[in-house]
Amino acid sequence: MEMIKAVNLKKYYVTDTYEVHALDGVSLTAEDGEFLAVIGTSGSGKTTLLNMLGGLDVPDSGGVWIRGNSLKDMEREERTVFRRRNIGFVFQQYNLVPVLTVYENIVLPLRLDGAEIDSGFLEEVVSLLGLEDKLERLPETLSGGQQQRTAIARALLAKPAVLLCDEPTGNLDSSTSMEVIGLLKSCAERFHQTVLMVTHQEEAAQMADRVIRIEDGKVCMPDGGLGRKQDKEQRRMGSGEEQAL
Amino acid sequence: MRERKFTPNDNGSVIRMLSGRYAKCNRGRNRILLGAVILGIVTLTMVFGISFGRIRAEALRAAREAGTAASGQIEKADRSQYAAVRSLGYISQAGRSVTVGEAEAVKAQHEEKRAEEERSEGKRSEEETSEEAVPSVCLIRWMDGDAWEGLTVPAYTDIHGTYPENAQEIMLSLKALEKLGIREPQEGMKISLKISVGIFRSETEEFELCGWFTEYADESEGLTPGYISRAKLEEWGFDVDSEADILFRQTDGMDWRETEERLYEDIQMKDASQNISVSDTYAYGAVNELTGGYEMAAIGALAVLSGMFFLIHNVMQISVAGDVRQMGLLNVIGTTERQIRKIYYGQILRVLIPGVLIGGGLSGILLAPGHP
Repeated sequence: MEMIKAVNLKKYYVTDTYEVHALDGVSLTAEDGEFLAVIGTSGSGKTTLLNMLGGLDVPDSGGVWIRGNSLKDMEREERTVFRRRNIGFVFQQYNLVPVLTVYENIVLPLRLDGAEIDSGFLEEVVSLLGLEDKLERLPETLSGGQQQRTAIARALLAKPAVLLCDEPTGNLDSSTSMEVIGLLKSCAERFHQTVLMVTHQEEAAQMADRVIRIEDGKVCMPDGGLGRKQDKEQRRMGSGEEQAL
Repeated sequence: MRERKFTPNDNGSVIRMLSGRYAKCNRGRNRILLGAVILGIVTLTMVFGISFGRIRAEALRAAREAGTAASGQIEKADRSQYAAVRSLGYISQAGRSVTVGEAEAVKAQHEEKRAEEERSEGKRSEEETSEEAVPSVCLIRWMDGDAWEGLTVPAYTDIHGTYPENAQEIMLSLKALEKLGIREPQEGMKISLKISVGIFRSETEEFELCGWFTEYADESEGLTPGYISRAKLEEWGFDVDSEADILFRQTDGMDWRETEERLYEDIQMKDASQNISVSDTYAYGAVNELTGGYEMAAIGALAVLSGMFFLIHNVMQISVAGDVRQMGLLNVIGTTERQIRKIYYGQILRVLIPGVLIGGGLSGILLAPGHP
């Protein structure tokens, strides 16, 4: 099943003096349980793509489906609630709420929903991420790696369909980076989640099941056979399903 | 992947928790906001409180000096004219009054009484004396309840007793009582007066004192008043319904010219000799003196309110601007805009409510000494 589907996404930023094509017709899919990496240089449009996929922004044209639900058809509040229940985010800057403890940060999305906390699952996630003895601490007292693990725990606890990671290792040293990528991969496998990771680091991208390269707002032809398969997919999605929009 | 149960979108407890935590984290900023709110409340109450107090005091002083709170009079009006005046929306108070005439003490009666007392003690031989009047004591008037309570009582202080109801009752000012040599009045005291009821007519009556009051009008402007009942007035042949002066006060925002013009339009005069005399109300005059008029007062009030609003608004805007990133973060992890608003309003209310209470309390303490 396609957990993530984006068709011909376009996002332009227009000012009096210039026009930036942040996304210029990007299409991609991610299957259930797949770990997909989107790689590109700075300014290539990968963060814009992530924002579109996560419902944080709306494209000027094109559409996004998460688990078969079209984000375009949702009102703003509906989209926010959908995101809370179906999409987990992990950021480069961790983005933990500084006034809450590790435990409170992890359970925050569930509490915003008024949901019951699955304490067994919470224990499992906390144990997997090595946060058992850090639950009462504030984020500012943690290392970068520990903060990122807290962010991963927060993203996982809501049991989302999809995990979107924006440069999750950007602020970490190389060994911690590998550790975090490894954790993401094992969590995706263990909890059968679809992970889409945006990164500019080749080493991080190589740990994914599949890599998509993006430059100047367009998906590039990747090297080798994968590119040909992707090429056909791009053409099929660009011509057929675009009309459905 | 494990299924999750459907849950509602809103949860008050986590909103309150986040609101409280952010408030705790932003203590320094919130203290500044609290200070701004307190300052705003104190400034507003002091400015408006002192202004209103000053206007009220000035109006009261002017009314006491004039001996009445009325700002106008229609002479010799009949009942239908009175009804018409009362029906006008721009007349805030109206009542009827009849001025009877000057009253003099009956000296002979006092001397005769003294002479009897002395005769009984064997000190003086009997002699006849003719009635002799002394200088005027007061100007006898009658007022209806509205004129008395609404337009006259505000100009007096230390009112003892009640307005006369029975024919022989009289209410006099302390000035009038002093002229009669009475320094310690008592209810029920007998007072004899000779009253000029008409051009060639006077009535000598023994009244019973039913009340007294202190008034502050300058006697060079007119004699101090004394009041009689309607029963006595009618006994002397006056018909209130066919001829009585209407005393009135227009609404404070209306100047005398506009009032006069409208009264002449709205009230049918009996004849050319009937007059309407109007002046500005004392409150109007006080506002004019303090601010230059109601329009200027409104502009001044708006300026003060705007100043306070912008002070508090800017402090809040500066403090909230620092939280924009936090709001974005909350939105990303799934906090709806409505929830974010509640979190921040909760923070602000934690400052506003104590600020208003402290500001109000401080203002009360500061203004209390000046309150009568």
